[in-house]
Amino acid sequence: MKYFTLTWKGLNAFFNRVKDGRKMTEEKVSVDINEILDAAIEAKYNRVDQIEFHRRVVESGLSRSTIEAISKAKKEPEWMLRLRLKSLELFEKLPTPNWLPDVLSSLNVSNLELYIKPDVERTDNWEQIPKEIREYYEKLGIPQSEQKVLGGLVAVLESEPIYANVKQELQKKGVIMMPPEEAMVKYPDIFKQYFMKIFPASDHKFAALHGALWSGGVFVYVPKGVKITTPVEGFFVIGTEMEGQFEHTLVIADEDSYIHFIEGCSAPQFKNFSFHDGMVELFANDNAHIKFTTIQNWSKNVINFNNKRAWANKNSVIEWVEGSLGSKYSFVYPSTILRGEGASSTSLVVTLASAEGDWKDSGSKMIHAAPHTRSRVINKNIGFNGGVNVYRGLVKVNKGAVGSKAFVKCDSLMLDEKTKAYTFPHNQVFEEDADVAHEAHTFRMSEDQLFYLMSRGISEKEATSMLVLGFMDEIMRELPFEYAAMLNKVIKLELDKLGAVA
Amino acid sequence: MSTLKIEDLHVEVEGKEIIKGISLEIKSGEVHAIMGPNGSGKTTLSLAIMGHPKYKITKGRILLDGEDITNLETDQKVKKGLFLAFQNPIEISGVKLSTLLVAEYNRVYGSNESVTQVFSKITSLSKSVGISDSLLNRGVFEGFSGGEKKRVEILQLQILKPKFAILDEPDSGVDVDGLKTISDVIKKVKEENNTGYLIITHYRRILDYVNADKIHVLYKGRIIASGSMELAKLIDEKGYEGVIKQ
Amino acid sequence: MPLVDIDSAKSFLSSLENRSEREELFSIYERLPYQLINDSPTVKHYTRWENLDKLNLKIESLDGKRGGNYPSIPGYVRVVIHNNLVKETPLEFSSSVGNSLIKPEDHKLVSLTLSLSRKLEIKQGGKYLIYHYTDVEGNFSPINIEIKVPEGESADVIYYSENKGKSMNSAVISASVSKNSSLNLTLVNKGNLSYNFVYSKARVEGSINTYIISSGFSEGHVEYHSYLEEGAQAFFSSRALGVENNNIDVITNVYHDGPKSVSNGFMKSVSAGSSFVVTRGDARINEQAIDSSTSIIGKAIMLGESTAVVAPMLEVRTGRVITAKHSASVSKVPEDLIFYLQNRGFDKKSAEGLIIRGFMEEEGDTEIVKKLIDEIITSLGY
Repeated sequence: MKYFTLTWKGLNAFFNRVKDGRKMTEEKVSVDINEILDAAIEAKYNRVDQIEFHRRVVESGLSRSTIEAISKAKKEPEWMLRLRLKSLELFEKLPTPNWLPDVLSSLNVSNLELYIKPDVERTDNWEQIPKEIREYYEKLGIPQSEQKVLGGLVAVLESEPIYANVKQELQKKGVIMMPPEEAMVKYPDIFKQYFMKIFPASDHKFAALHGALWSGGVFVYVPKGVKITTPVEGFFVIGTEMEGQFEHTLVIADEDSYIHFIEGCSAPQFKNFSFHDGMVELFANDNAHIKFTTIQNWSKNVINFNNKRAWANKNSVIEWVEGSLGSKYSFVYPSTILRGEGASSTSLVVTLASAEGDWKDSGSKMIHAAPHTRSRVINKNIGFNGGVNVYRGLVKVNKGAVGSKAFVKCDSLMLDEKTKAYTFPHNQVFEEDADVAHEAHTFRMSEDQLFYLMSRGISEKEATSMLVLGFMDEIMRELPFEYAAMLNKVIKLELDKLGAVA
Repeated sequence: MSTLKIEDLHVEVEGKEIIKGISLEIKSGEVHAIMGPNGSGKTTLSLAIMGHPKYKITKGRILLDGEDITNLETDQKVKKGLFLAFQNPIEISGVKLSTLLVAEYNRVYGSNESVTQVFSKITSLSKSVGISDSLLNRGVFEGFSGGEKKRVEILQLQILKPKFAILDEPDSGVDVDGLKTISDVIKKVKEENNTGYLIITHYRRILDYVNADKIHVLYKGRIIASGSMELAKLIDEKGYEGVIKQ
Repeated sequence: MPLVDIDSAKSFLSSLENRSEREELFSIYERLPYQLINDSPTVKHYTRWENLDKLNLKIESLDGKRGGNYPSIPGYVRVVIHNNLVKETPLEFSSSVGNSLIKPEDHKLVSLTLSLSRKLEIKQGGKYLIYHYTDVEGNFSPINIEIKVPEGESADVIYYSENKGKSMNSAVISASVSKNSSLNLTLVNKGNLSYNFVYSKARVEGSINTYIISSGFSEGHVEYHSYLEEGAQAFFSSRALGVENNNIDVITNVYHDGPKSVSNGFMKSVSAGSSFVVTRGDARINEQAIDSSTSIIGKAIMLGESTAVVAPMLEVRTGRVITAKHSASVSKVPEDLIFYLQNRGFDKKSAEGLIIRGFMEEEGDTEIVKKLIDEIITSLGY
C-alpha cells in the first residue's frame, strides 16, 4: 500500500535547498495562548475594553516587535511585514466571534512555541508520545518507522520511488509546489494577488491572528490546461513541513486545469502543540476544477481553527471534502464565493465528536454572486460519549444571481444519550429567480436496522459500525482508496470506545 | 366545423432540435393518434403546441380556424379552444382539487349558479369518472395514484369542453375499468361537443374503444407514416421496429 | 431621537398606578441595548431597530372615530383598546405591573411596554377576542396580557392588532397552559406602513396551538417563545406577508424542557414588492427532554424584487431523541405549476394568485384570519 512506504531522497534535497536560504538559528518566540484565549472570551462579553485587551496580548508575548523579529528572520519583503502588522492590529480590534465557546477559557493550552523557521514541534523521544497513541498505532497496524512520523519525531520517512516520480512529473508539467515563503520571493506578483485576499485578515479575529503569525504550508500553481489526474497527497509529498500551527495553503488553478489536493491523513497524529490556526485559500480560474480534501485526526489535546475559502470563476468547480475526526475542539467552515457565471461548489463534511467535551463546530458558507451558480452542502455529524457537534451554515444568494440553486443537507447521528447536536443554518435569498432548499435531521441509530443486521448473525459492535459507515457513505466515496480504508479502521476503533465508562 | 392545422413545425429544447418539421390537420369530431417509440418527441410536440416556455418553436405555424395562434400565451390558447391532458401532472399542494374544478367550471359556464349548485354538479361529475369526495378535498394531485391523475385530467376535459384536445398517454397506468371510463368520456365529449382529438399512446386498445380515424407514427421528430387503424394493428404485431423498417 | 418621546412617556406613566415600579421599568428600557448578539454572519440585525429609534412617538389616549364597528366573532368575549382607551372590556385590568412569565430584561421593548401598560388577565377557559387598534399618527400603544388556563379547561384567545401610518402597537403576551388543558392562541398583526412589536411566551404542560400572522409593517417584529414541560404538545404556524417596503421579522422558538414533549411547526412567508421578510425559529431539545420530538418546515415564496430569509435552527442536547428535523426552502412560484394552471385557462396572474392563496390559507383558520389573508393577497393584485 502506498501509505506505508515513501520516497524522500528527492524531497530531502529539495527542502535542503530551501533551508539554506534561511537563517538557521533555533531562535524561538514564546506566546502564551492561554492568556490570549482568556482575553478573547472576556472581550466577547465586553468585560475588557480594547486597551486592556491590547495590554494582555502584548504581555502574552505577542507584540509588534515579536512580529518584526519573525519577519526579519524569515527575510520577508516589506509588504509581508506590513501585512503581518496590519493583521496584528486587526486581531486586537475585531470583536470575538459569537461562536467561540466559553469553555475555551477554562482550558490549559500550552504556550505557543514559534520556531522562526517553519518547523513543527518535534518530540525528542519516543516515550514522550502518550501510551494510548502508541497502542492505537499498533492496532492500526502501522510500522514503527511511520509511527515516528505520525508521532512527530521526524519530519521525513524512508522513501520509495513513487513520490519522487510524482514530484518530477509535476515539475515537468510546470506545476509549482513550494513553501509559501519561497513562493513569496520567487513569484511575488501572483502570490500578492491572492495571498490573504481570498480570506482577508479583516474577516474575523482568528483569521487576523493567522495573518500575523503564519508560517509554513504550501503554495501550488497549476498552469493553464494542466490536469493532474492522481491526487497530490500533501502529507507525503511535502511532509510535516506542511503541518505547522499557522500553516498557510494557497492553491491556484489556472484556466482549464484540474488538481485534487489532499492534506492530512486518516491515521491519528500526535501533536505536541495544542493550538492550530491554519488557512487554506483556493482560486479556480475559468473552467478550472479544484478538489481539496482534508482528513484530520489529531490527538485530543488540540484546538483546531482552520480558515478555508475559495473563489470560483466562470464555469469552475470547487469541491471541499472535510473529515474532522481528531482534536478536541475544531472550528472549520469551508466556504466558496461563486463569483463567475455557471460556477459550482460542493462541500462534504463529516465530523466525529467521540469523547466528553469534544466540540466539533463546522459548516459551509456558499455565496452565490453570479447567475446560474450551484452549490451543494452535505454535512454529517456523528456524536457519542458526550461529544457535541455544531453546524453553522450560510447560503446567500445575491440580487442578480438568477437561476441559482442551492441545497443543504445536514444530518446528525447520535449514538448515545449524552451527546448533543446543534444546527444553525441561515438561508438569505435576495434574488427571486433562485431555488434554495435545506434539510436537517437528527436521529439515533435505527433499532430496526440494528436488529435486522443482528438477526443475520452480525454482532452489535459490527452492526453499529456498518450503519455508521453507511451514514458516512457519501463522503467515503470521495476519498482515495487508502484514505477510505484507513478511515474505516479508525472509525471502527473509535466506536470501540462507545459506551466505555469515561 | 373547426380545423386545427400544424404547419411544418420545428421545436428546439435547450438548443437541440427535437421536432424536425411536422404537419397535421385535425377537423372537429376527428380522432387522430400519435404513436412512436419513447424519445421520438411526442410529449415535446404536445407541450410546444400549448406554449411551454422551455420548448421553442423555431419554424412553422399553428392555425386554429385559419387564425395563427402559434405565439399566444398558453391560457389564451386554452380560451380559444385548445386543451392538453398531461401525462404526469405535477402536485399542487395547498390548492384543493374542488377549488380548482369550481374555478374552471365557472369560467366555462359563467357564475350564475350558486356555489352549492356548482359544487354538487362537480361532485356528481367527479363520481362518474371515479373520483371520490375525499380526493376532491385533497391538494391537487397530492398523493394521487397514476390512475387517479388520469381520471382528474379526463374530468377536466369534460368540464372545459374544448374544440381540440391533446391527450398525452391517457391510458398509461390505468386498469381495464379505468380505461373504459376514460374512453367513454372521450366519446361522450366528442358526441356532445364535436371535439377533435390528438391522442398520444403506445397501445391499440384505447384507439379501438374510441374509434380512431387516423394514426401517425412519430420517429426521431418526424412523422414517418400515416394511415388508418390498420397501421395501429401493424404496430401491435410487428412493434415500432417493424414499421420503421418499412 | 428615541422610539418614544420621554416627556410624553413620563406623563402617561404618571397617570397610572404603581408609579415607582413603572419608573424603574422605564429606566431599564433606557439602559438596555436592542440586541447583544448578531442575528447572522452577514446581517447584524434582521429587524432595523435604528428605524424605530427615529419615530419619537407619543403615548396618548385619544377618542378616535372609526367608521364601522369593531370586528367581532359570535361566541367570543370582546375587549377593545382604541388609541390607548379601553372602549370595551368584560374582563378585569389588574392594577399590578409586570408579567409573571416575561421579565423586563428579556427585551428593551418589553420593559418599555410593561412600564406603560395595564395588565389584562384571562384566568379561565372560554373564547376571547382582544382588538388592539391605533389610528392616530405618531401614537404608541402598549398592552400587557397574561393568560392562565386552569387545569381541565380550554381557551381560545385571539389577539388582533391593527394600526396604520406612523404608529406602533407593542404587546407583551404570556400564556400558562396547565396539565390537561388546551389553548388556541392566535396573534394577528395587521399593519399599513406602520410599526409593530410583539413579545410572547408560553409555558405549556397541556397542549397549545399557536397561529401568528404578520403583514404590512414598515418594521414588524414578532417573538414567540414556548417552553414545553413533560408530555406537552405544541403546534405552531407562522405566516408573514411582506408588501412594498415592508421589513418583517417573525421568530418562533420552542424549547423542550420535559420528556415526551412534541412540537410541530410551519413557518411560511410570501415576500412581494421590495419587502424583506424573515421567518426564523429555534427548536431546542434540552438534556432532560428525553424521548421528545420536533419537526419544523419553513417555506418562503418570493415575488419580484424582494428578499426572503429562512433560518430554522435545531439544537438537540440529548441523544435520546425520537425525531428532530427541520427543512426550509425558498423559491419563486414554480414555472411548471403556472404552466399547468394556464392549461386550465388561468392567466399567469390568476394562476399565481391561486397558488399563493393555497399556500397561505390553512384549515382551521378562523373567519377573521381567512378574511385578513384574503384581503392582503388581494391587495397584492391577485
